[in-house]
Amino acid sequence: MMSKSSPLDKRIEIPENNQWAAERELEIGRKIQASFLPEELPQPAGWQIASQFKAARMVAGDFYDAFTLVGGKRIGLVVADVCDKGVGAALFMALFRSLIRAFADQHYSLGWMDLLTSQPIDAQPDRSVSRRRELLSPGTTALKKAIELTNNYITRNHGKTNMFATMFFGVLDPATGNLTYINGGHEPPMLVGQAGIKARLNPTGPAVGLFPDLDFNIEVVELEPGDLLVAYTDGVLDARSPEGESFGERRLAWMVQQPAASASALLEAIQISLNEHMAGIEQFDDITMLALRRATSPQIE
Amino acid sequence: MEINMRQEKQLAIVAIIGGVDALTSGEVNSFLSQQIEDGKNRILVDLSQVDFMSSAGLRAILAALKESRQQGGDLSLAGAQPGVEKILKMSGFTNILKTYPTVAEAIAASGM
Repeated sequence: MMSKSSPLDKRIEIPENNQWAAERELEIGRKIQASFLPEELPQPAGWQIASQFKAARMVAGDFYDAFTLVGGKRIGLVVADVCDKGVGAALFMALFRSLIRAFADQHYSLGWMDLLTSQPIDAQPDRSVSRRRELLSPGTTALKKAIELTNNYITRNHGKTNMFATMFFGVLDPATGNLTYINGGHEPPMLVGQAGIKARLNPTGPAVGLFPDLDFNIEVVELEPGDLLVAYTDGVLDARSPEGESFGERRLAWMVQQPAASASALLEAIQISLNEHMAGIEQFDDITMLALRRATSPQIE
Repeated sequence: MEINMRQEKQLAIVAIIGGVDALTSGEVNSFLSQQIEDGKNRILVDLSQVDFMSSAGLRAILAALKESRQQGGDLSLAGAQPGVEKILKMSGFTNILKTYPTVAEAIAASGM
């Protein structure tokens, strides 16, 4: 069948249409993906939580999250980097983020319900003391479950895609400053105190999504008044200058130790420094940072 | 990036030269897949000339690792430079596959 337009017209016309359609679809994807990042960060009394996020392309494979668990008694904090780039990584970002949130929410609620219902009242004359002691424990199993179930879900249902994510998932008890965490193959977050870097929260297990039933260990660290935790993705370290020099771990370590008015002011300062380092050249990886700071003295609301 | 291959008895030694990132990982993936499809399912990847590996590169390695094991073979790595070694360790890849400091040590360990 003959078309009205000549073959040459067609060749020009169709790719333009396709490109326009593809760009429009990507723009829709970008907007929907943004809804998978938290609209607001929880701000428990006496704490600051801040984030910086700059995608390298229209859609990103990095993500961060911060959400309340068990009615605000705990705060979940996530920084993750899905492998590879582009639309594939973006789809998996949405999946990883949702699984972690849903499993964490479910298992934290279950853990606390178990506690309240299973404890025999008569056997514990001083209930308030024993209960307080036990309230620390449901968190650890719920955290482990959330990561293990996510790992098994991804490997069992999407194993053929070979998609995985490096992921830091911490759960903060705002009352005590204890942060229980699993680091699944992710860049170690830095814990900064008055005298400098106190600890790097090294991996406690592999990246999430490699093989089913892998082991993830739990660690606990305490944030004392004035302490700061900065979690980030490798896009920060690997940001290149026009000369090809990486921003690097040392620069970041130096930056996080500089005095700042707030957690968000600190991350903004790091972002400015990153922008100066890249000096307008194309950013090739997503840049994500999440900061958690404990006030120096108990805050009066 | 370049890929060379030589055969040491039943072991296919695949040397990658250059960086493995989102742009080049597809080539690594299809090369390794092809070898496995051709029945060469015992693979040693020589990383001694790889100066950069992104998560896309790790993904290509993971894909080939699974494919080779499904065919009754295995995939191991040798000669990673410090930067690549750090990434392999951090992401937990050193726990899911065998790594060797050099190709010679990997061949010796393979018992061939």
